[in-house]
Amino acid sequence: MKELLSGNHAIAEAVRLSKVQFIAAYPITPQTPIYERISQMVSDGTMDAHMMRAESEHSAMAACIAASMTGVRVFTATSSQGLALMHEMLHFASGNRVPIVMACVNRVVAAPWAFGSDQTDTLSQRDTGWMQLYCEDGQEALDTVIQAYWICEKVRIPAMVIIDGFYTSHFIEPVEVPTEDEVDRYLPLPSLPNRFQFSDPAFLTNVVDAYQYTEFKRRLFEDLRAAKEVVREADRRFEEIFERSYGMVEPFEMEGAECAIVTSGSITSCARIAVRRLREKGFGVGLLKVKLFRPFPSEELREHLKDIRRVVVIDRNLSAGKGGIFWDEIRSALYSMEARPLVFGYIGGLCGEDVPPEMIERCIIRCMERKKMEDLPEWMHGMST
Amino acid sequence: MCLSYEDLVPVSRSSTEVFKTGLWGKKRPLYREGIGPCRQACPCGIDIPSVLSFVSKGDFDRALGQILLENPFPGICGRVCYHPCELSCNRGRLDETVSVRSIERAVSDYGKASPVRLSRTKPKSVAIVGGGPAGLSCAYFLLSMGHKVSIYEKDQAIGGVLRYGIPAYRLPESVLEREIERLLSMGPDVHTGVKVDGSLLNELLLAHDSVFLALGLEEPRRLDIEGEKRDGVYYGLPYLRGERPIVGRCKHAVVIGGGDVAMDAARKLLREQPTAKVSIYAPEQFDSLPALKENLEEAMEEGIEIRGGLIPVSFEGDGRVQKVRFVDVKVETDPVAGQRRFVRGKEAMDVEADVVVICAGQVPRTDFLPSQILDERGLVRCDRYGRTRMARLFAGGDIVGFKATVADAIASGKRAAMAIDMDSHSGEPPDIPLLGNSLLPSFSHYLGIDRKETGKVLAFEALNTIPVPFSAAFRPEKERPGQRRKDFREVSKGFREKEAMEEAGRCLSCGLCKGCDLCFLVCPDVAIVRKDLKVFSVKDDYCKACGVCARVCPCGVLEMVDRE
Repeated sequence: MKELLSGNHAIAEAVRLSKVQFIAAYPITPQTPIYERISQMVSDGTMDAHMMRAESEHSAMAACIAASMTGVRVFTATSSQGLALMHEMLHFASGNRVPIVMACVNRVVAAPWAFGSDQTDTLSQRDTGWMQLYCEDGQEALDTVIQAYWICEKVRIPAMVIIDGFYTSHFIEPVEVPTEDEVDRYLPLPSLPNRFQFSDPAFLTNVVDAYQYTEFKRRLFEDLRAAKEVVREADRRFEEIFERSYGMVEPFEMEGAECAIVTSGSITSCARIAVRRLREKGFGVGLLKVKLFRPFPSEELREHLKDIRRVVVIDRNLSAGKGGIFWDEIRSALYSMEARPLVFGYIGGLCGEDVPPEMIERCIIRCMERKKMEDLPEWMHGMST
Repeated sequence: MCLSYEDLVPVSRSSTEVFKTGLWGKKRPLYREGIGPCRQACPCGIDIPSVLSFVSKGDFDRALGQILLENPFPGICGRVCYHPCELSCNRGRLDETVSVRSIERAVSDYGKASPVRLSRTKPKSVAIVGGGPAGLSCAYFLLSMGHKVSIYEKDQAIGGVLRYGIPAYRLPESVLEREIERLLSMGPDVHTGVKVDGSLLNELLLAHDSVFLALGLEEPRRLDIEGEKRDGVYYGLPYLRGERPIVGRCKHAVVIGGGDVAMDAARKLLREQPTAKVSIYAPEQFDSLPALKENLEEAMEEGIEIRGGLIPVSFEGDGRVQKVRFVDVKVETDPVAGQRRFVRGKEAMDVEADVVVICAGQVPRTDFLPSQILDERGLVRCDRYGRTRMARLFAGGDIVGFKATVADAIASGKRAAMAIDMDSHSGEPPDIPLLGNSLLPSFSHYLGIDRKETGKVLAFEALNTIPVPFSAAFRPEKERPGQRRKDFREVSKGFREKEAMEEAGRCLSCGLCKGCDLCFLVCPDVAIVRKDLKVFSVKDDYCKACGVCARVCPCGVLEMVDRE
């Protein structure tokens, strides 16, 4: 049944449908409505779960790790500074192979202090060993949370389900909320071991030597790469039951295109409109939405971009001193191609600045003139026509 | 994909005991019980946290036993004490102080226990002159230590000011009898109706090893103003003692004074003369009256008008007193001698009165005593162990010019009892550890049955109050003011057992281990070992001196000290 839900509330509904048993969190804008809605559902008995209000995000993640080690299904949500504060514990989570699902609502990381959407908070956690799934709207967020539990518990690696602050988190749209029965069919109760056994006491996270350390890290690396197959399988199974699927990357109007826009998150929706208009004007432009960022879908990108001459990557994030992070990652993934396309980076929409279809159109038209790749990105901010 | 956690993450099943984390630290926690500020403030030195701990568990018997180690009269002090314990209670820094005095009363009402009795092969024989609180306290502690005691009392019954000075609405007779009975059960020789004079004192000194003088003060201080001898002019203590009852109806009674005797005289008058208007006029300003706060508040609730800053200059009338002339007065403290003096103003005021009760304090009647032990005011001069300038002659209570309260009288009797027991008659003071910065040794420390560190007084800052939820104090109910004038029934109704238990549970237990196990639970190195319900020790091999245990201790018992 379709319901009018904000992206935040859609995620909370997914948490309920996934029969999460333990939630530890700390409120932070723009994630707080997730926390509030779950808290309400636990309080009124709609959800049978333990809700723990931690004293900080660091503690919230620590509690989630410990809870997950007992074999229960665990959820938390955060944004921006909260995610930054969690950083240390994120490594503990992946290192301990706990299948936690965390909703991350993108928001700039201070300073300067601000609230708008910006992927730099989650992309700063790129190397923590977590999976990252970027969602375009509330429906995708709801579906991805449910999928994420299936994936995480299969591969025993935690995952972030990421949406844009305010654009996705607070916009209210019609969202198809599946029934409990449907979700139960897709996602059975977790079958994770309780790693704390009184009969067999053990010390977890003990000290290891360099050889052991490298072995465990290589195992995580391999399992994370192998997780791509599980992501694909999760999406395929999801489609069977719910008749919706997303893919790791989603091609849009890519047939016969010579130029591809690459986006992630909510900017994708505007890019879809821009692509349609450009096509009407006769430009051979398509769109590729990157949903899965870790593990990185290099092969899939190469496959989709093999006949493309120009790639325009729009990044709502910034690695100061380098450029957009998706741009950087995509260039590196395409480098092994024999006939490489030109890959242009555009920085836009920082702190939630609007990136309307007209602006994307202008960028593409101007880009058509560009003959060679640059080391530095272009700034959409303040760009004149 | 192999998903056994044994392959995915490191797990250790060997013991961490090989890591001697204790080598890292230069400090270690020391488990050392101390004393609460309440106990330091209590003239009797009662181990209040221990008492409250027993009460909170409903064990009124052991609570009473604990009090009886330090105070022979919990029923009396539980009603009339000025409770400095409550004024210094650390809980006041958190929300409200614990109602210690009302709990003490409940302990005496609901508990059953006997005083400590030691036997002794060579008991001393001690004569006590005066059966008031100081004399009876000295007798009690001497009897406790196995000595022989003979009490000489000029009245027909022992009790002194407890019996004759405090009206029943504050201290019912049955309570007094119960406490006196407990003392008598310890077997003193009691001689009542015997007025000790110079020759009898000499006889007592010859017949006994020591003599303890606790004569009290009972000669009313006269104002020496015009009309003081008129009919209708009375003095506080003789009136309270019933020596000079007020005959006939009185219309307007004026009580002069600002202390508890004035409050009690006025409140007694109110009950005896149901139609009279009763007013109190005190030389001190209203906000600095010396009377006990409760006594003052209750007097006002009962309709007694109290005015401060006035002093009488004459009692006028045609034969019988008809009016009192007052002038305004300022109380100044002599910056050198520290004594108070009244500086009279010029504004006169007449107050109609057909009964005047002067409560200006009492003076000693000590002319029969050897002059070498007296000071210029006629008080007995002694040191803080009650030792006078005459060997074997000790003194205590009001006669030594000590703070004139029941609790302080008890304290002076106790200290003299210890000095007598030690055969310390002159010279260097006895080597007895004192409770904190008070001048008082506790009897339980003296007997060696209390090992709490007397020098460690727990400040609020030394406690971890984070686990303590806020809660308001319970105060016992009182008889409605409208009812009180009808009889001499006790005004305060005291705690029921449950109420006392709950209120006692509010004690922060300063310096007294509650056995909460927090130290044991938080130690990251499992270095704290629980030996008993409440006794902890530290494994030096593993304590790395992080100090968490000391920081979380709600009672301030654990402290970090340098490792030897």
